[in-house]
Amino acid sequence: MSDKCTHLIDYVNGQLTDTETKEFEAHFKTCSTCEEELNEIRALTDDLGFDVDPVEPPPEMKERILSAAFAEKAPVESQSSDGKKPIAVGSTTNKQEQHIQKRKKKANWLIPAMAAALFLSLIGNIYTVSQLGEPDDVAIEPSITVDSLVQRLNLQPAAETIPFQATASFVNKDHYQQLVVEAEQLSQPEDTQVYQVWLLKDGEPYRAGTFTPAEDGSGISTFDIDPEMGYDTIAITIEPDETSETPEGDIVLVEEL
Amino acid sequence: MSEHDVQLYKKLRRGEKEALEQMYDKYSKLLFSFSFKMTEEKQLAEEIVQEVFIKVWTQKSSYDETKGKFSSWLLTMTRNTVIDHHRKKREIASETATKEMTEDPDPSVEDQVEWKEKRAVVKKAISQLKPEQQKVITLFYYQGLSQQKIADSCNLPLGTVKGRLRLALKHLKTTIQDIEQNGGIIHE
Repeated sequence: MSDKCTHLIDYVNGQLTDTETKEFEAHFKTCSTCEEELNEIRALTDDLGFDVDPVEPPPEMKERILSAAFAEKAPVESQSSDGKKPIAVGSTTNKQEQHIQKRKKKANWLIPAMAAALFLSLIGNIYTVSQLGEPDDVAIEPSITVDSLVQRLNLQPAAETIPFQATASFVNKDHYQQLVVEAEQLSQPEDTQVYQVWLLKDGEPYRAGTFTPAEDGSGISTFDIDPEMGYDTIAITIEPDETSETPEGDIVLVEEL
Repeated sequence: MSEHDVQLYKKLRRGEKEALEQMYDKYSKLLFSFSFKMTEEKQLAEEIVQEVFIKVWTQKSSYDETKGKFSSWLLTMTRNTVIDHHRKKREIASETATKEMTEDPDPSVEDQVEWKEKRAVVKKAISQLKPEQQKVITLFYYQGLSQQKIADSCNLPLGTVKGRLRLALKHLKTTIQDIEQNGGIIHE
């Protein structure tokens, strides 16, 4: 037993200084006695919290707490500013369930279409590709533009097991359109893998651009696009690396425009 | 974790606000009462409960079914939040807390069956412990005191606090199990 083992109670009750806490945590990793004792204390105190006399919370507490919680970022949902319902798979209401089933059908239908496109299509007509973190070749003249939101939509997971969420916004600039893709809950791609955004027209994919997520799984990327192209679908895939000219990896998110 | 809690938690993780509201309706009184027992300040108790619900909603803390009951997880999170608050407060060194009117005019917990049942069992089990064992558990668990303060209050050498506490908790657990299985007849 080490000297540090005597700190267990004070550690559990948050009575150690920051330095002592760090020292104890370092010790804890190597001390099976402390680990066993901590687990035991936790297991033994499991029921103790129920031994409290009921105290009626203030009546307004519910509103205060729920408002405060909802003001924080939701765990997975993408909040859309245009009032569209966020993705709510498995929701309790029939209406929502119908909505979701419809969405799933669309997504399933699109996957073979895209898969076929992978083999049939060669790269063509990419209008522009730009992404955060890569300097543009052409210097942009500073100018004042008035942006307007054309469309904002939630991308649907291509399979139920995919937890990723993303929204795509099309913003009208002066002479072109900008696509802003914001994603959350992304898993970190392996090795050289990257997330790739594709725009499709009649099943033919056009590479919009590439991005990698931040440490917290969130990612944002902007792409300049030609509104005249008349794309009908947007999809995100995981590609082996950033050089894929046509989709080679699995589709993770997809939505009709 | 009851089947209902499992479903509720899954919905909450998908960002369904109704799920958080239902969870609030089910557990807020328990968490508030518990938080109040530890802090003895209603406003602070509310702040603690708010922090807990925000942690649940934003998934800063996530529940793992393999680590026990959902309700116990919520209570542990509440206790840790109180302790964290005490820790910060200690740095400001304030001793102004006064005990407020604590009792619910209607001391029933009919709105939460699990609480009602567990409370009856745990209360009975605690009452069967020796007074010094009751005291060490209260000072440690509900008041979250330091080992030194527990030693001082119980007139124990510092080095024996942990041992006494573990013994008292083990005794309590055995008594709880006995009550649950045999309706309170203690078999020595």
